Amino acid sequence: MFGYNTSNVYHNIVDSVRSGSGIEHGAYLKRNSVYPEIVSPLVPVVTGNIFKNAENYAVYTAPNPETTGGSVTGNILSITRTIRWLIIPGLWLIITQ
Amino acid sequence: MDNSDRTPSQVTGIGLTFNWAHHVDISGYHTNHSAVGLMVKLNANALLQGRYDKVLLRKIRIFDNYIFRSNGEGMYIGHTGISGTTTGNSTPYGPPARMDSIEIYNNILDSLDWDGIQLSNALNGCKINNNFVRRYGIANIGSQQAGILSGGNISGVQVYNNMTVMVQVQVL
Repeated sequence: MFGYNTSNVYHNIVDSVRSGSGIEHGAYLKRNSVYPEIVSPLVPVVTGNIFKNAENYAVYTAPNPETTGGSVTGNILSITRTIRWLIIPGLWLIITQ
Repeated sequence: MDNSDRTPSQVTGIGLTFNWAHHVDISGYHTNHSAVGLMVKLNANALLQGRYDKVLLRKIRIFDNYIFRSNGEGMYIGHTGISGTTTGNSTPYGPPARMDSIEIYNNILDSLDWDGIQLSNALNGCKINNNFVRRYGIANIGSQQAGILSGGNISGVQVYNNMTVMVQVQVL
């Protein structure tokens, strides 16, 4: 995500983010400048997501001064197959076929 | 659109595209193999009405669509040359038109060489929710490997209840 103001990422499932370069994150959030508008800081709120098999960080918020506050809470990182079955048994069948 | 019997080099067309429009619903659309599954953007142009500060592409809803196999993005929504200065992605007429209140939901995207859902240059009230994006970034090209990409130039977006699965495993 490249945006600004309060941005919410919640209740998503992200599985297997891999390029082979070791740089891919489950979620990446950064505020970047835009011309000609003058934009506010990014306030990222990342909560209640499931991230599995991200080759770098599950959640990465770029440490620039225009990114302030927000929260990263209540996410499940790299769950086991057992838990995955418990949560989304029907959907997992689709994925593996 | 069904290009399932063609090779990638034979497929150069966008499945569905529009530019100078607002208050649009796109639903029930299906494509099988396209260069880009769905594209919505307006380049800045010579007419004043086509400048970023004169027109706003707002209230566009994209829902209940199935996009299978694309050589580029599954959905390319919003111009990515935001400031109008990007080489090869700009015109002499300044920044491209902004979007607003874009909603992308209940879509399935599968087997995409680049990003799955890309929403850019959309200012307020945007939502990306309840989508399933599978096998994206197949071409393994840098900056083209996001299941869902929002930005740049998006204010207060909400991304929720989506599932993305890259599937391809290249690291052993």
